[in-house]
Amino acid sequence: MVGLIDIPLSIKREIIQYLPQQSLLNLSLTNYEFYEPCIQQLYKHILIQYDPIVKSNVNERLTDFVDSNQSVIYALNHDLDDGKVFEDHETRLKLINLRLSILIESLKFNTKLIENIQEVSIIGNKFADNIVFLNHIQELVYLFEENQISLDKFFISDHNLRSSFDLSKLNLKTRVIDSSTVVQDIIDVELTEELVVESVPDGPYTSIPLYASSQLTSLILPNDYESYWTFVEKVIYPNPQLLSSLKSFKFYFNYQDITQNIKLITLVNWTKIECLEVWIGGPNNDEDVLSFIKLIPADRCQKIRKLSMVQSFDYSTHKSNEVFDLAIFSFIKSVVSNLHYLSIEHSIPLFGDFEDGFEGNHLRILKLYDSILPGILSSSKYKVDLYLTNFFTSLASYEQSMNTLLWNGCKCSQCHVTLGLIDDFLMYHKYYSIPLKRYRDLNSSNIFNIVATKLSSRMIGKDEVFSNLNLGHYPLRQVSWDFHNLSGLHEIPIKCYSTKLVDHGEFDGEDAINDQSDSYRCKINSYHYLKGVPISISHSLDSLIGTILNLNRGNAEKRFDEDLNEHKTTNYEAEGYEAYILNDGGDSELMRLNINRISINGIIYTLDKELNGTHYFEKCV
Amino acid sequence: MAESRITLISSDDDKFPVDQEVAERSITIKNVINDFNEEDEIEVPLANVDSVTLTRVLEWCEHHKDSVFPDEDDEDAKKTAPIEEWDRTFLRVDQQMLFNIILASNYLNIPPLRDSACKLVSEMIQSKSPDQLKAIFNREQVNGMESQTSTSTVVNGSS
Repeated sequence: MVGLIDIPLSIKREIIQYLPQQSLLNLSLTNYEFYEPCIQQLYKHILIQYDPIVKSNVNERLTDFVDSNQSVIYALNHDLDDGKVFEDHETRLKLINLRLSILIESLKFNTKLIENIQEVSIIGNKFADNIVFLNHIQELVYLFEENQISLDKFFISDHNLRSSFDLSKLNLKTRVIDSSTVVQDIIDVELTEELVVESVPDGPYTSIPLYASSQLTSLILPNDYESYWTFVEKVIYPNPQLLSSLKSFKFYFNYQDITQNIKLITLVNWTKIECLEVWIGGPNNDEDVLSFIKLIPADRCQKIRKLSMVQSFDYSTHKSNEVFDLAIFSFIKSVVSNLHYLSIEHSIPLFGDFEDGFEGNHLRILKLYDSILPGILSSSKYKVDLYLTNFFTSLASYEQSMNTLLWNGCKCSQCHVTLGLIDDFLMYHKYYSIPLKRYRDLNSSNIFNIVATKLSSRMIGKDEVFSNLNLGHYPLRQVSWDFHNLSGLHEIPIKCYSTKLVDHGEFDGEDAINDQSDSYRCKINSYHYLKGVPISISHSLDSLIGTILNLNRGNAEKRFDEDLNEHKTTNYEAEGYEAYILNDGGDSELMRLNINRISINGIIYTLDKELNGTHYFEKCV
Repeated sequence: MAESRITLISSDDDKFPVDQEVAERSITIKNVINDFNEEDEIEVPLANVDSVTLTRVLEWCEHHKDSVFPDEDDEDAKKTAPIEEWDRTFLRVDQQMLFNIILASNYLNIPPLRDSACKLVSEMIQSKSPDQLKAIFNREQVNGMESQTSTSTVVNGSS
């Protein structure tokens, strides 16, 4: 009789790779046969971050295993059932430092442990001022140097923190370049497989040895437009061999000079590219620049399995955003055949404040994403992981839709509380408008824009790791927010009032940004945000998911001959009314569900079919 | 219906004629088939797979004969994919059969089946204490195990 203990070590490792860190610890304590493989997995990828993770619910059918990707060192788990949110900065840092010190002592005590570490990531910008933390990280770096460990990655997202350490002696496969780096030092090391460029290093730029090009398979250039094209001009054009073996690349369209785009495109070996991030857009809602995307030779891009599309400038009208979406959908359609990962990110104006106001037909943007995009993705031979990193932020700019969410949305007990709090918040708060130099009322679009932006920060994406090509590599973070302090967003204060805004006079002379003449601290805080807001937002997104899954029956009172065009089969003319498609939750003649998961602003929906073919979803909030 | 030219023989000598596209879900069998001419009748003995297990495995292969799975080397893609509902129902068997399926899928080199089964076992392990795990997998603890593993508690982000 075969038990778990009897199966070969290679298979034990296969099972163990899917276990999150607490389960690894528990299993390692059962038997020595499990101890070593569990410890190897536990120390493989170490993530140091400020916030706790959003844990998957293991009792659901569609739980993913992203939690097992990283062993996370963070401070404290919030205890929402007990109403506790741990936010004191000093305490959190103290606990992270304590855990780091224990880690370092363990590595010193048992040097075999350090050989298991393949990747260290330090994400966030709250550590750079803490001397104890800096000392711990420096000790860690020394340990790797002394033991001559070959790491895949020692990644530090924060520029200030990164500049405190010299990582050049580590044998890293992934290296980060910023303004303080000497390019030659990076490229000369034979192991380098991935270069991540945050900003342009200082010159001079000598010719880079040819052998460096053959192992370089990933080049992620800066998020900043000027830095990107400066690096291209100063480093890539003199050393085009850097692009010859690339499988992963970021392409940022030059909106000013089309010839630069053509020049760079001709240097890339598109037949090898498997992971591509495209940044496209131009100032002043430039729609002409969107046609540049056709310059990419899509017929040679059929190996692409991961694609990230980023809107590089604010498009401040609803129509221009729809034009943008149609342009990128056209490109996605041309390279969809082997796609299994797609990320789309928009650049939304501050507070969702569009030039054409908050009005707009939100049904059009919904149709793009609940019908047209899923239809395109059904042509891929793989099931697609779809990341719409700030789609809800885009939806928030449609005030009618947000008013409906707020006042006529979900009526469950949780939403009754959460939406009631948000409604109340609008009654007692204003935000400071920099252009107008005065405090202004918030509307539903403003507040949901802020909420959506904060929800998006649960994912570790391009703002910290410089691309959206690996959103599934890190677990979601449980970022907290107290509805008042917008630091990390736009540094714009939000002020509480003791009386309802409707009772205020029209001209109260509150021009000063730091006018505290009538302020008090209201009761809504991080607990309410963490406990209720993601759940309520997810309730509003459920109908979108239902439409994608063909579960949304729409208007049940509609006559059969109303809106016939919407649900015709291809043989409608021959088959007549019987061919009217029923949204019965399964695949239809017109659309086959080919999406594994959808992430919208850090809310994860996992999709599947029941045994009878009916689609269903589960979500992680 | 055309007769299958491929016959798999279990360790207890039962014969299983299968279609080529079903058999080729197993990379091991696919490599054997490739060594033969197209018109040859092929018998493949599988010394490590009994008939009951082979029946189950072939049922999976038949259901998934047209399925496309992510690349084996893409770890992130494996981690983001949950266990499909059909696979979860298919693998709702006793523990012994589950391990037999894992061993068979490993021997026959059927990575998606092995992945689904391993994910299911990992789900059984999650949220359980060491004592509960021992009870599930029915093994005794090695003496002195806990003192050796005290340093393993350091990489633990939970409070």
